[in-house]
Amino acid sequence: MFNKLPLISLFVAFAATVTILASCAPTYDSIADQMLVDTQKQADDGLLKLESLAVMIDTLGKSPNASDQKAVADARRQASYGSNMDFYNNLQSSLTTLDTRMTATPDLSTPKLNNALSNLEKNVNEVRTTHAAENTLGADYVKASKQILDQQFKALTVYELTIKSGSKPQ
Amino acid sequence: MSIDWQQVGTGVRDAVLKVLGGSWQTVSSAAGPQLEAMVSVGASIEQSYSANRLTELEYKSLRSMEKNALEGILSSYEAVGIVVGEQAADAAWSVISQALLKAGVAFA
Repeated sequence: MFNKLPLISLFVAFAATVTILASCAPTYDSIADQMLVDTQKQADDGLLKLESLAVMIDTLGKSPNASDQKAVADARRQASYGSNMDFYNNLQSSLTTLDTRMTATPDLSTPKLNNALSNLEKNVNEVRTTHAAENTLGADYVKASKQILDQQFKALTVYELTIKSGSKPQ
Repeated sequence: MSIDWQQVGTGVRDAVLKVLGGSWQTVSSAAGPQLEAMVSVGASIEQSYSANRLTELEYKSLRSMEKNALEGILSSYEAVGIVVGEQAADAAWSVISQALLKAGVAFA
């Protein structure tokens, strides 16, 4: 009987560790998942518009044609920082809400998730600061920014899908 | 001097392996292509800069964004690794609690 004691203690310790870890497993939150999709779409829509305007400015900018020059002036106005402040305000607000929702129920992965979300927010602010300094952004800059942000959103989507695939039905 | 992007890709993967350790096996199918995509974006930034299609400020901004993004992506996959561990513990606990229930032992 005494020989069994260390084994039982070991089992109890193992079970306790598993219980602690298992109680920490995050539950899938469909609202956070949808917010992630919506925020990525919001970023993509705004950046695609800026990229398209930048390409138009590049393409028609050298044309001597008066109607082309009018189109370029109009595109410059639409691509200016002042015309896009609402886009940045709304996107940054969505990111703050997303951050709050995704980290609302802390588990062991939350500190890492906080870091991932914080770096996403930093990068949106980086685009905003550059836009404010230059007033209009180049097509290559916007394209690369969009690709970078998309990769960050993708990694967060993998996180959400991992929780979804491993969650018990509610 | 031109940059060997294939070598950069290998270097990035080695660096990530050191951070993720055992979690790499769990996340490699999703994280691997993402790291390749980030290296590819890095290469296109350098090409655009060499072709004068980026201002100095835009170039500095994109380099900073690449660094932030790599850190963020890595953190996301660390989080995925932790979640998978937690889910495995959850599954293990189900087995243990079923066994305890069968044996008539109240635990937890």
